[in-house]
Amino acid sequence: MAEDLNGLKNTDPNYWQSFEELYNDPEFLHSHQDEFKEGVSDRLDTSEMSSISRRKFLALLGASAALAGTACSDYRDKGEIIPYNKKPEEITLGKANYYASTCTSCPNACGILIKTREGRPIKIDGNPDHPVSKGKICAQGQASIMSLYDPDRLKNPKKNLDRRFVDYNWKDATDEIIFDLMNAGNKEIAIIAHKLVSPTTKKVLDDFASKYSSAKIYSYEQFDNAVRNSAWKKCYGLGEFPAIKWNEAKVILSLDGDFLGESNNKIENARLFSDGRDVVNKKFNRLYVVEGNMTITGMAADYRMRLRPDLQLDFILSLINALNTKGAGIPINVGGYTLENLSKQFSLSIETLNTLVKDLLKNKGKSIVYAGDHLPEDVHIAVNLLNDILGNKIIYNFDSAPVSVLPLSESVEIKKLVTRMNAGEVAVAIHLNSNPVYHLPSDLEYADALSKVDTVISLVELENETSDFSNFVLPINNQFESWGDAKTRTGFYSLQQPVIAPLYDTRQTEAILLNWISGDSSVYDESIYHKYLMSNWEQNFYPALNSKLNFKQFWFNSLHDGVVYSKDKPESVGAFNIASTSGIKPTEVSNNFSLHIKESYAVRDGRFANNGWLQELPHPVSKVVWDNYAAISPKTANELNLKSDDLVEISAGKDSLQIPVFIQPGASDNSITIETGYGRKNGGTVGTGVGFNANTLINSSSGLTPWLYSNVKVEKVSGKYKLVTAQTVYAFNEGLTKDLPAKRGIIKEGTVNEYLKNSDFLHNEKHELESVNPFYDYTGVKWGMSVDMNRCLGCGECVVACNVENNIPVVGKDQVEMGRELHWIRIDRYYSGTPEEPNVNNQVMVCQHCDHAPCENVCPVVATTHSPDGLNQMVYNRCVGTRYCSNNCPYKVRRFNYFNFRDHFKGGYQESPVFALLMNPEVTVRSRGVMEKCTFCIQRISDARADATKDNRELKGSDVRTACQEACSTNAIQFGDINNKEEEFHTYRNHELGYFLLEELNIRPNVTYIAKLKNTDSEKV
Amino acid sequence: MNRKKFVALFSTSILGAALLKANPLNLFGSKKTSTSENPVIVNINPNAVNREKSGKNNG
Repeated sequence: MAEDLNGLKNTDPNYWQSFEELYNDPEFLHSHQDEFKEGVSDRLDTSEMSSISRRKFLALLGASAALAGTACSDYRDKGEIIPYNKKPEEITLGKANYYASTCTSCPNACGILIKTREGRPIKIDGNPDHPVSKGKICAQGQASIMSLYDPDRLKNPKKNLDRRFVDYNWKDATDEIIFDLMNAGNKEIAIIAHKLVSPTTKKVLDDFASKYSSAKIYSYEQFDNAVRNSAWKKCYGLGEFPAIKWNEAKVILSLDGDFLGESNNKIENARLFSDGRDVVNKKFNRLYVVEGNMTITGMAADYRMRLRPDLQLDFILSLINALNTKGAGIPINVGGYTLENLSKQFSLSIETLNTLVKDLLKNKGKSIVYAGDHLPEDVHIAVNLLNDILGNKIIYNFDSAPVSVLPLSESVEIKKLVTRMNAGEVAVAIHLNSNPVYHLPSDLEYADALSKVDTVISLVELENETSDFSNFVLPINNQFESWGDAKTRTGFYSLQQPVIAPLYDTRQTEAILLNWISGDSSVYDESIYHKYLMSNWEQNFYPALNSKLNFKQFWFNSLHDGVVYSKDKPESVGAFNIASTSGIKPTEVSNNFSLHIKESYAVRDGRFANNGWLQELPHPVSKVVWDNYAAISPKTANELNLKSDDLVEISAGKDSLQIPVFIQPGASDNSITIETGYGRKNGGTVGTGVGFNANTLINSSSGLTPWLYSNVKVEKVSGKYKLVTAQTVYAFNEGLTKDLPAKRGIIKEGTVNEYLKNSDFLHNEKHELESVNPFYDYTGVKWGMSVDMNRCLGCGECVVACNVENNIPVVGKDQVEMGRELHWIRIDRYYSGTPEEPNVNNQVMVCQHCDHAPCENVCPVVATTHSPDGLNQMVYNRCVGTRYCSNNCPYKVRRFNYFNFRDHFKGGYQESPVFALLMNPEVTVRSRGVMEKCTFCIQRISDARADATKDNRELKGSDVRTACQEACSTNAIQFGDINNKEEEFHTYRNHELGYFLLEELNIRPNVTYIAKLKNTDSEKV
Repeated sequence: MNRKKFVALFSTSILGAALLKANPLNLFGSKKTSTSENPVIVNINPNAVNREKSGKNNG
């Protein structure tokens, strides 16, 4: 423990953000002598100055001034602004329009609200009326607006002529394709798509199959819950694994199940889970996590244990044994599995295990055990049995069950397709916005199989690895240009409507299929699928809904809401089939490594690889950007003599991959975790060549599941690869700044027991702070924010939402390395405890809008001022770029535009004319040499103020929701008027657990942090 | 620098500036982003139905 310093007691745990900081790496300490990295601000060396004389200099200066004067008369022509000649009825210039729709970026099909300005969509948020997403959307959904304006989008059809893609036209392409389809004969026409969620799309495909009788539809997802569903069917005979009512569970045990981070129903999971982390109503759930690598769910755990994922069956059987010794009566033979043995063998805390057993027995019917999708079927069956016997079935949501419009194809079907392709039995392969060459297991050799298909067609937005092997590449509409519907759960449908006409010569996928069904390329018109959709609804859905409105009224009403409630009920689930447990056999665990391949938190399965905002979004745990890596534990790294950035070769069967390692605190020993979605060969300007392709390690038959492998070899190879993290740039940890986060109270935490005993435990040593400066009396609205660290998962949705709202450019990996990322909001992640079993805290960091902001006093040109409603304002056109304000900011929240990053990144990719349409017109687009920072979404405040003035009422704090607040799926961020006692925000602002950062500086920040409480048995964190 | 040199340099600068401005045969390219050169035209979908931002249940 560090000794007392200047009277400050250090009884708190030491907080650290990286191993370099923890172990006082000399190179790290030296690099932090200066605030800015080497090369960022070079020192002045007079010996390198020019030898030109003053006279010559002034002469040249005069000539240059004359030149500049004549050349600058036409500065920055931004183009013409032409007012509407005939203004569309629904558009009011300067006011946004909102449209309900459905996000089809992934099979969750969340309801969304699209904000448009002057006819172009600029922001995506959740649809508040959607029963699952309830006004929230994931980071990928937020960032998906960029895909509409992606300069890499295909603009017209292409045909492969002699291995070269040439521009083509729709008529000729359609004629040739129809000819090939008609002449397929007995050969198969294969349609390969991602998971289908649209009932009308399914109908189109059925019509296609009726017209072309040899057509067969295959649907796949690289990451799915096929194993979980298969186990559920064996246990209960029918249906799919249900959603879970996390809010009703007092105790949750997650076995390598990242339900708060992985894309499968993440939004609903996070919302319901955070209902059990309520500091206002003093409601706290308890989360146990047993996992192989640190995840978003692991970071939120009250109790966390490390265990290789291939040992989870041993764990669950040992747990069942322990429960049975206490009389649980779970009818399964668990042989010699005991928690004591497991604890000894794998260094698990026996106290924690005993507490877990006690908690599960005490909370029967109020707890849930959840296993990760990648775990073997036997684990899921054992977990289902455990939940059933403990009465936890009541926690499953049987009122709104998942529905599959078309079940995913089993892997054996995909293998048969590849076999038929290789045998020349497939005439046409049509890829509906899918990329099987990249996604499918490497042993299938799908690309080779495609070469034996007569005609390969890709219907895509962006070129990808599969379209490279296609004869025809046909560009399709973006989701915001498309009509559609979705059915993901019983009880409702959601509708999708286009909010902008297609920007390019693209067509909707279903419209293309309908055109092929018609057999005549001239039949096509743009509204073909819109009419088909409406007709399908009028004939097949509307009658059953018993609506009192006529169909047209019903249709417009439904488009307005985005959701249509229906009366279909899920099938009731019967009794547990105990025979399903008879097949459970021990997992063969080798002495070598286990390998878990999971989808990336940022780019998922690679479909978002060309999205710069997502590539630059720091990984929630490691904070690495622009790359993937192999995460290993500190002990394993030591044994293999590895440091972060060293290259290793990972061999799983016949497949191998060289990838850099990242030493991850909290990872289990002898296990590797790699995120996929990287290493794309044709992923667009941004996505190509980023990271390493982990799909090469995925094998269709050799793993425990397609995502989990045992008996994996890891060897160090020569070479290094620089991984960049967006976390350690501002870390100070020496001398006076040693153990700063603990001593200065950056992180304050406690336990639920401690809090319930003494609610004021955080403020026992509070004292009044004096100031020589008078304080301004804010009598009107005064803006403030609170961040509830009990609810913050560190997922990064707020970061992406802020990027979209405030036109924040992508800067690139090299600039992030120098600490120049422009994120106005960041999430600082602190470890405490040991590297093997760390405790994790996530802290959202924005401009604190201090009452006595130290940045305001030092600006030589008064470019940063303070508003009467408490905002620290930034005047971009006054700023001359001294960076003195950033120097003075103790929170380091100011971001400087070292370049015009739109010009700088990827050769001006963000300067493309179409990219300009992405910009939010309510927010200035900053250029080089200007400081920027969080503005508390002043554009939204101004908008709300204008509305209040128009309505002749007072502006209320609840009228404004900042972008980060709106995006956060756990509602961790609150924003409002500090002076209004009636608002919900007031409770958080004045909460007993609330504290300010660096309060001793007396600069009066206006962001309140609610201390994190761990719900542990003891009072120690 | 003497007067002769200065005048020579100054005249060259003025001629150079005039040449840049005139931009014959578009030799120096153009960074204009006027709408007439923007390949993308934004059209509203007339069949979409807009709505208020807030939900039915939360005002």
